[in-house]
Amino acid sequence: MILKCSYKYISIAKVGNSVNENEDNVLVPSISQLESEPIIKFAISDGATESSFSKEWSDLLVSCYKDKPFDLVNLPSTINAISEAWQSITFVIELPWYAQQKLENGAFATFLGITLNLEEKTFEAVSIGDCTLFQVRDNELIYSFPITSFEDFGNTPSLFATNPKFQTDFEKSVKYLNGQVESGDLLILASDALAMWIFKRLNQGESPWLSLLTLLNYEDYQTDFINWTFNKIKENEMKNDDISVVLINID
Amino acid sequence: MAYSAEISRNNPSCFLFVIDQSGSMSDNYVSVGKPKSEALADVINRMLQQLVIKCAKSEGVRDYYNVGVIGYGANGVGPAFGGSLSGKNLVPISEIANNPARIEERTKRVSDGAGGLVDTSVKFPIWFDPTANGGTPMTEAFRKANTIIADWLSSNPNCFPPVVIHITDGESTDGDPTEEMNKLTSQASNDGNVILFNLHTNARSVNPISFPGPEVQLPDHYSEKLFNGASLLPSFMRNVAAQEFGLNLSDGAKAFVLNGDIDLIITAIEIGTRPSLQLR
Repeated sequence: MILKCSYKYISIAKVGNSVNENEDNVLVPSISQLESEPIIKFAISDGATESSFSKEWSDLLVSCYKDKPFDLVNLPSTINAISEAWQSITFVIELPWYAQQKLENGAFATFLGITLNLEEKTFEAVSIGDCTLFQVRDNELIYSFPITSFEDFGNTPSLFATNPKFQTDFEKSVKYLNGQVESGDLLILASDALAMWIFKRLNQGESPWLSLLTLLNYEDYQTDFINWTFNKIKENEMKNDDISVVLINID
Repeated sequence: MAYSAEISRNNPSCFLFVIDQSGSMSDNYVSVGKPKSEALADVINRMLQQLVIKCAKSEGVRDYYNVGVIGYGANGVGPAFGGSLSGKNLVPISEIANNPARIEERTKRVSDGAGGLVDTSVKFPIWFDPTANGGTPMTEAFRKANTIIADWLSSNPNCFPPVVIHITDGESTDGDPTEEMNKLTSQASNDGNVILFNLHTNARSVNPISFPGPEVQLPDHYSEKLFNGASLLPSFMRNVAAQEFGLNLSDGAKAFVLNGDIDLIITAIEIGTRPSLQLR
């Protein structure tokens, strides 16, 4: 029997920034894809604050995960093609001296993609940086990828770069995972600030996904989620950052 | 915990440079064959350029910082920006970005991709021109810095603490600056005290001392005053020194350089302006 899946997601800007300054981007399947296709893709990407046009870069990365190969052999040509698309967007804009010089450094983003095969009950994940995949079964965390503990977070995660001069070695920095899914599993894709919070709550012996499931089940969950994260940031439980999460229920 | 405030457009921080423009600054640095005043002006302009680029986003420059440059010398003490920023003390970084006094074309050697080097023309914005004349009214300069920083802190009480970088090659000619230096480092936001760097530079860089602890033996009473006035380097700056410059500094290391050549001054400025990594 083919598994089914359903999802909820949200992506919000850091407190103090406007909605269009959110540099995270998310890929989720359409309803028709969910109903008709056994292979379903999700992705999340967090554009680096210190680079410019990183929102456009993270957007292109998640969009291209839909139909470009991200395996280690094809990754260089894939990133090169996406980088050319990014350049075609940015190089037509007339910019002042500082924006031109900034642009020469290019844009940077972390990335996490997951391809579910609902027929074979498997998944493949690819990651660079600190966006994290959590797999939960029977209310227990059975796996997290590529980050495995709160202590793994640092200030300088590996990133996909538009400029090959600044690209870290793919073999060292890009991680791959193959896994299996069962009916009842919950998969969570989270950008770094929320992933850090999840690890913190896990360390306290809690099941943090229960709060996220409850929140994202509300009818007006956008407002509720924004208020919830605002309070967490105010209480210093979460770092102030763009926040994105995708919750995938396997049925 | 001190020095942990977020730097954002809603909660910007500031850098203030206090530059000695006395006559002795016209002496050439032996290592680069250029007057100290000119080499330092290049360093300050490049630092401003890098800070602007760091704060630049696709929609423009985000005001994470206000920056000021105060000069002291023959004309007394005053703001040292040229062009349309002339006369301004602390200026938002976006205003700095959009108002260089001029943009020069300079030649830079870059890799040709085949193991060689080629000359290429780069844009080099100028906000601050070199001056070297007259005495060293250092005490008055610190008095001015105190006023500027007090004004800033009254409007920005929760900011990441201001960093003041003082660069000199000589002794104060208007009395003992100790009291004004102490007053400056006792000013604080809710996130910690002002950080004062005292960077003494020397054309020949004889017996340089960098970021010493309390055990240091200093050659004279004057250098002791600058050492005593400088702040302790906070741990995040010691981490930058270790990670990026391979300097393993003790807990008691001070934001102080004596007889530094231009490279050591650049290193100290890099360490001092690194709160920019905490941008959100």
